[in-house]
Amino acid sequence: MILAQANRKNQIRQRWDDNLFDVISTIFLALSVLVVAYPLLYVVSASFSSTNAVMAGKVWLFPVEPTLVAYQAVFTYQSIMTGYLNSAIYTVCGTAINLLLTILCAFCLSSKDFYGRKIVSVMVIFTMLFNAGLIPNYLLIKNLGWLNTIWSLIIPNAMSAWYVILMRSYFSSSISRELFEASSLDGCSVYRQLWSIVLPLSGPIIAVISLYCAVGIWNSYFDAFIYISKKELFPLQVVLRNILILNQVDMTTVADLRDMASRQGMSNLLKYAVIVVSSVPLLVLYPFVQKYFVKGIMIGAVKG
Amino acid sequence: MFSVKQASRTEYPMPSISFRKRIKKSLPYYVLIALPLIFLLIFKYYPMLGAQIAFKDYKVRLGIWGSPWVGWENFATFFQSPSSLTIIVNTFVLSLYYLIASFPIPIIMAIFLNECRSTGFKKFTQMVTYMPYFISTVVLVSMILQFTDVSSGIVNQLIQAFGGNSVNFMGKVEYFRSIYVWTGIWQSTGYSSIIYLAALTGVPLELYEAARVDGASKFKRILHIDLPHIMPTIITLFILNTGSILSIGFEKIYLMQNSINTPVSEVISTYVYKVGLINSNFSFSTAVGLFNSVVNLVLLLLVNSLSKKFSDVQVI
Amino acid sequence: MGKKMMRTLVAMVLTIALAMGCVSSASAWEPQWKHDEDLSSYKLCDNFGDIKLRFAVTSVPAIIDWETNEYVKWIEDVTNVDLSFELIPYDGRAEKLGLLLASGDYPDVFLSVGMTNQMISRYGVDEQMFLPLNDLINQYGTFTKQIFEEYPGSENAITQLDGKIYSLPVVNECYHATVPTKFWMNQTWLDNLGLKQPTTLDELYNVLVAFRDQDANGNGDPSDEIPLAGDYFDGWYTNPERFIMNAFTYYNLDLDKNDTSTYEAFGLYMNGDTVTTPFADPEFKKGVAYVAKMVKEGLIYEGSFTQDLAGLTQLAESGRLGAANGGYILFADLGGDVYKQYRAVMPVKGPEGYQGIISFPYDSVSGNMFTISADCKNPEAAFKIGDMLYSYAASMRGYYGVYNNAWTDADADAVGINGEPALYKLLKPWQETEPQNDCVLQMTTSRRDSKFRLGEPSDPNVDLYSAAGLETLLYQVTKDYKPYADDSKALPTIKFTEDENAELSVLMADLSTAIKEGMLGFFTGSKDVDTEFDSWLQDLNSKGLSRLTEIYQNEYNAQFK
Repeated sequence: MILAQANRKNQIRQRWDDNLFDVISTIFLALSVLVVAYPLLYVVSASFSSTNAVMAGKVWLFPVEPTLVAYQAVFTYQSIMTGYLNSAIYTVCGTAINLLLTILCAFCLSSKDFYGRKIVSVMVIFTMLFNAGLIPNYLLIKNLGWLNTIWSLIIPNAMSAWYVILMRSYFSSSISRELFEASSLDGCSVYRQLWSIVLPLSGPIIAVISLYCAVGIWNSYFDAFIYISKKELFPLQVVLRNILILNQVDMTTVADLRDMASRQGMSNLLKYAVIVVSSVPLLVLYPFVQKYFVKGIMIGAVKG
Repeated sequence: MFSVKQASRTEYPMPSISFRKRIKKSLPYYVLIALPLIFLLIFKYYPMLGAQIAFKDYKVRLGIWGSPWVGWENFATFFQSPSSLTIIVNTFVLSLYYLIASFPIPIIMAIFLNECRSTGFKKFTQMVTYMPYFISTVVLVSMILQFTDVSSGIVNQLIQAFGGNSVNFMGKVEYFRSIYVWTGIWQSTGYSSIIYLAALTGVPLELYEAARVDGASKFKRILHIDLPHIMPTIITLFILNTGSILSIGFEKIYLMQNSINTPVSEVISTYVYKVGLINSNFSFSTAVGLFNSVVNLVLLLLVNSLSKKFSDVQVI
Repeated sequence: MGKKMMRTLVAMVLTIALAMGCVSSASAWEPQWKHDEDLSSYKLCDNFGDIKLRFAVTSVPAIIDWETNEYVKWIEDVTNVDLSFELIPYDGRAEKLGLLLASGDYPDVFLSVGMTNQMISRYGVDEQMFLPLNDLINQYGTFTKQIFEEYPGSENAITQLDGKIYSLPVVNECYHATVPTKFWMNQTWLDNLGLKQPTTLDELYNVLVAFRDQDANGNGDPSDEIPLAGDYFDGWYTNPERFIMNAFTYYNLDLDKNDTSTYEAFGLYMNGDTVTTPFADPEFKKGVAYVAKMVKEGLIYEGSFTQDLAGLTQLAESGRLGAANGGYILFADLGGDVYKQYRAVMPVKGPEGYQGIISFPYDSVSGNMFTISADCKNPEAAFKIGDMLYSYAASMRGYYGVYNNAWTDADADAVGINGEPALYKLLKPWQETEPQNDCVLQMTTSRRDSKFRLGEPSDPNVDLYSAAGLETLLYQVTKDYKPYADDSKALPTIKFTEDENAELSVLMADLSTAIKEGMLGFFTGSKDVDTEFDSWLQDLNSKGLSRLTEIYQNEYNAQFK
């Protein structure tokens, strides 16, 4: 009875400094949204405006002389669908492989029972700092016969030291040791520990790493640029860049000026449309990942 | 400075087990680590042998192994240039500025988001702030140029509306670093706050309840529960970031560079690019890359050992 | 039917079929239009596919597929060689090509892949990865030798320091590009204010002041006009100080931020037989001070130093631009109302009476468009194809497309851009935007000399200031500028050894930054000309300006004296 009363009292009386905090927090977040929103709106509006409007700098907030001409240019371009498909495949496969290697590595590195942990740790970090450079990597891929194949895009970056360290840090700090102690007393093998304890408790970190990984692969251009020359294998970013080039004016090859002038306007417009086209799938993906970032989502598992 | 409470488990003294037994206990780990290790060896370490071209004069016909050694010549070329010191300093300053300025903001944002009572607003804010990350560098810089334009840029129009004089931002050396850093923060804060959000989800709800019963305010709660809990993540990320301090990205700076701001905007990567424009000398760029890596390593070790001393977090 | 008869019938049918097959593969290509050459000697083998060659080419989105391209099919028809292709994407071509070469990965021929002189020097001369072509040219280079004759000095220009030729150039005579730093001024504004086109520097100054202070564009607001503007990023010769500096001395300095490795980034020019730079010339210093004054007084737009071409174009399209430098009138809306207002202005006389404009006479025959790998198994066949590409037959088909589809014979009374009888007629406008598969546009070597480029029909009554009249307009304006250009000052193509290239690459990276920083600093007023110019000169020298000039002079002496 007294407890109920006390609880009600606490609920009724919202502290004044909590209110202040909420106000500050809301202002901060709202400001962030505004600061971010304006340029974003600009990008979207510019992509739907006419080439002349963009060239003359008339676009400020809303589309001026709205047209779909930029999007038409993008979507009637033959390879765009192949680009989407390829990027989707590379992203899914690449993220999966990445997750596999990262989880295995991070798990081992987070366990004190792993004799040799320090050495492997150092080996992993070293790779983050030292990169062989373009030529040796290219030669390796060439010698493996992986040029112009999907493997060149998903294997060389299959494990990143950053993600391993982050995941290891998460394992160490968020999964209590008592669980491991208790389970091994119960005769639980290391494999079982990984599968039944670590994985279920790692929702948030797996969600984050998957997201960062997927975004990284989706946005990447350089690897495909180096290793792929077959059109059917181009990922989205390469296709989009090609569309941009189609409309770019390269002053060093002064060919036909009439053609060049008409392209200049289009290229300004396209670079905005390209952003929208390329980022929509990732934006759509985000809400699915968001649900992992809810407070206390992992509670309850500990009791088990 | 917060007291870094042990969010991690307490240290158990290692009972002395024989070497044999230790290996036996580690066996399952060896099995699990096999795949990642093989990956590292083949795709990271084997190509690293090729980095020797930094000390060679790479000739295609002779290949990596057959090309002649030139010792430190490639490095000397870089350091003998009269501008190399300025370039290195520029890289450092820009990187440090970015690191220090950008570090706290995603954390603050994550904490505020975490405390958000309206799920709708929270999700909406997360979504919107996450989006700028997808704007390509080319467009970002082109927007920067447009918005800061001395006659038609929106920033100057606002200034003039408040009675001030128009400023040619990109034409003044002193503004370059700030524009670079703050637009970078604008672009990546939302995206970087995600990892902190994820870390915050791990806080046991009972701790909140206990704090509330004790009469702690939200602010105190954040200070004593949330922050310590994510401190390992914060410190880890900080250490990792110092490990890439000299590897500052090329594209954005190159696009933002103009001949007025080169005294502060010429960094290692843009310089190597210009040298390579004429004579793509892979030995030279590999040498400079090696130099970058060594410096990054030293810094990382430094920060790591500091962290070991003052907190319990370490990356190595 | 008896068995015997059956067999005879089958034999007959087979023989006929074989004969027909033989006939079709043995038929040589026939010249089709007035300018088609006889290419029967370019049939390189009896059966299609006897010889196979692999080409590295540039992949641009405007070319759908090289393997099935009409131009390629035509080449295969003429030569009977089976061609296959390795694609290098246009975006980042230089890096990809460098990578390909540095990893030892190469096909038989490199066709128009952006091979630079340094790559030829390193992989050709130094590492002998490319085939020297001298003997092949002498034996089989019919068209190549014609070109050497028509363009004296061209053979020398493509011969490397070891006396060998490693690649074939493209012949691209863009007449108006020989004088690309034209100056355009808004004639309507001049008319509105009752002014004439300036002929001296003082007159130019006064005109610009009038633009600044009065309501030149007639919109009621006297303060929104910008007298003179430019950009330093990606415009085509749009640095705003060019016209003014050329009233003081020979000024070909390119201050665009991305130009860090051409001789223009250092202002190198020929003074007789001496390679020299303009910085130490007192007239140069006076010119810089004059430009600084103009910037300070708002006659040159201060945004010029930070904007890109898009920004400049925006200014122009918004009706606020008085004058600008540039290779062509930089507008998005060709033939539009604002576009029509501009006219070219001839070089003005400076205070000491100097008057001039820079020209580039050497660029017609250049580039490394056709290179054969030293490991090629059929070097003769490969070379012959390269030579054949110089024929008008190949050039038209490569650049424009299929005969009678994209282009055809000229009408009897048609007149070309240069006023001579037209040589051909275009059936559809040339463009590089829509993906197509009839030709390869600019991605091949060819002979597009000025006779041919200017042989494109042009309506003698065309409105010069409409979109259709642009080429004609530029042709005429270039002719007008020619008398003011001193071709002897331009630097010829000079080749360097591998070591020199290595030294140059570092020198140039440092020097170009110092030059641009200094010049722009003086122009914008952050550096004072009177007090800091001399120390800046000393700084340039300490950064190796004299060594740079020395390297150029040495090689010039070796190659041209």
